[in-house]
Amino acid sequence: MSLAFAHAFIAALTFYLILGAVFGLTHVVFLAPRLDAGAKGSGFWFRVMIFPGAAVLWPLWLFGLILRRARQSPPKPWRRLHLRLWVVLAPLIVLSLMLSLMVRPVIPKNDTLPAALLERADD
Amino acid sequence: MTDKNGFFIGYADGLPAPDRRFLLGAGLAAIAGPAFAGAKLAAHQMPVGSGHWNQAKILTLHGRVVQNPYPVLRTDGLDGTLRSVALVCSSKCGVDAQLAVFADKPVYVRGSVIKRGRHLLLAVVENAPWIGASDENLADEPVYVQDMGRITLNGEILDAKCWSGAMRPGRGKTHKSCASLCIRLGGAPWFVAPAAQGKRTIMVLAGPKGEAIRQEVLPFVGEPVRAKGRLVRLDDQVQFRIDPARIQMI
Amino acid sequence: MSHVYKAIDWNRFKRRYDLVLALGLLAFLGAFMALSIAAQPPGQSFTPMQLAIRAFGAAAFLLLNIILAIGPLARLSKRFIPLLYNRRHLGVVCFVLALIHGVLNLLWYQGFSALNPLVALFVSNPRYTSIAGFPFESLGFAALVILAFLAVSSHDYWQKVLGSSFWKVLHMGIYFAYALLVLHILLGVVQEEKPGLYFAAVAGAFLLVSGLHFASALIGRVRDKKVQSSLDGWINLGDPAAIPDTRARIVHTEEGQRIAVFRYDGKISAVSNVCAHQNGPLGEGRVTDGCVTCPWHGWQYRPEDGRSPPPYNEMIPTYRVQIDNGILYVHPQSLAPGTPTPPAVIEGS
Repeated sequence: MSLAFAHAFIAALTFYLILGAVFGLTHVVFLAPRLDAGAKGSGFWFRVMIFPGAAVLWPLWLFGLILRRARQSPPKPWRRLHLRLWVVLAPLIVLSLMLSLMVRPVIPKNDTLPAALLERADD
Repeated sequence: MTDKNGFFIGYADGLPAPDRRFLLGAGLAAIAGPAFAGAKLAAHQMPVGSGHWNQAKILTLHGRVVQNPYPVLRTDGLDGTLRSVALVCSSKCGVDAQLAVFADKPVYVRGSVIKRGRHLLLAVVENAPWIGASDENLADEPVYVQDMGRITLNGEILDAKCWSGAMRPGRGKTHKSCASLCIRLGGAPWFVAPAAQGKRTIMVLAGPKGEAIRQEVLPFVGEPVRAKGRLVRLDDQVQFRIDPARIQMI
Repeated sequence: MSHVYKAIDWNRFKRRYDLVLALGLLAFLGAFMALSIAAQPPGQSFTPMQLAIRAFGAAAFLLLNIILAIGPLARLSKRFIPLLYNRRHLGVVCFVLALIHGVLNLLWYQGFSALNPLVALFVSNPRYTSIAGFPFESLGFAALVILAFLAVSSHDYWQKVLGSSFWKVLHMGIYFAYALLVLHILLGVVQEEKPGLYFAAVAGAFLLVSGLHFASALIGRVRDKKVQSSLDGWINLGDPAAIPDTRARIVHTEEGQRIAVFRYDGKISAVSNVCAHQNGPLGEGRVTDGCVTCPWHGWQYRPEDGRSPPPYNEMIPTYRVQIDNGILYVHPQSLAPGTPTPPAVIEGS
């Protein structure tokens, strides 16, 4: 990764989180009681607890609000998706296990070193 | 609110009897298991070496500074014999810039000693003046140079300061990016070459003419490499002069 | 179930659960640090920072494996269901451990320089095109970002605001984090330590977790015998008395729906098998105090209309049932969540 790209990436991340802090504060103070009746009259610590979510997940809840997506979709069983994910990820992990054995770094010993230069390895 | 038939409800106050017994067992296992795993994993780790950095003790050493090609203080202030003490930053940077004025002149340097085996470094005090002209009468012996011939060696490139005790462990994969960062920002690359019977050699890594190489070796830091070059003794340091363009990954 | 949200709805079971979690963590961290020091010659042990980095990283990965094992274990044996109840605390603690590991790494290995440590994290090891020399730290960073998304959205409130389905899909990100972390460890510390134990520990943990997942999927498949509906659309479930009292029979329709058909007080009602909270298997729960109670977190619904008792307002779909000539029928067409449906009365009970 180039230095310029890394700088840009970290700058973007910082910008995202600063925006998140602003949106997050708005969310916990004004929006939460409107989005969920359960948040009406909830305590200070509840607001503190949902703040990190409001700050980090702001694109998710913001677009949800803008698009007025139906929030209450009927619950579905997700077992099949679990299984599909595992069927994809498990072979990949097995592959990385085998790969990690193959790429293990080994430094061959040197037998041409002048004896006068040798020192004990545990120092 | 517990069901009579022994049905678990988390917020209910009582637990059904079979659940209680099972969960007691599971709870004990959840404490004993991790303790055993932690002990086993910890005891299996590689030795991290005897490197040590005594940061609490600030010394003032008198001697002459040379670029060999990385900054070295030639001093007899530590054990009475003339030693090459590598000068390094306390953080991740280089000290070269401040040294040009003092080249080959008697100086004093303030810092803390990093020591591993017979290798000595001085981490200079960064937040205060750490170098100045010395009024001590110091002998100006020329650097002892001995060409030890060409050699091909397998080994690992690491950062002098980290390996010598600033980090424990200061080698290997988990330390690779730290070593790269240190060398990138002005640290000295050293080369450790393993030999048979638990022995090894530590060398200062330099270019073909004994010049400093840093950015050129970055891709190879912390990995098994093979390099062809010349061994040159400079006082009590050994230099491995190589062409960085011809370093090979093993 | 939440009426008015609290930061954490404490109860006795959660307190004990968290106590065991804290003791287990202390046991791991303590044993790891003590043995790391004891196994090295005096004065030659790890720097305290590097010791902490290793201990917290290992603890986070161990905990993640435990978290991933609880789900399938609870499917394989009901005895593990209580462990599900407070699993989100494990998740948040796992994130905190990983965060400590990551921050200490940044400070120690990438800090103390003129570069921003976060920038240094991505540039100090430049070998992105190599496998053996890959900057494995970036994999850990990606996994930490995923874990952060999951940890900050773990409160029930976020499930409601983001929508239950979306929330569930978001939280499947845990599997990607797991895969990234396995790679992070394999390309990191496993490459550096003595061959054997570290590799075996990662491989063993993965085999255990994936084995449990596939075993539970297999058993689910065996249990999932689908029933066919007759021509008029109703499904024949035979003798209603065959369903144990206060319990349910789970019916899998050809359309892929799961219906929990409950028997209680001499009556039969059918609701969706999927809890509105975490999609827990309602049909494996019971009717207690007149309500269907989910075995996972104890959320409750009235069997007649699929609504949570006041003051709660959760709803699940209901299904029509009838008993004709002593034979129980259920209609596979679900009704809108919270639709009242008359229970079928078992004659002679």
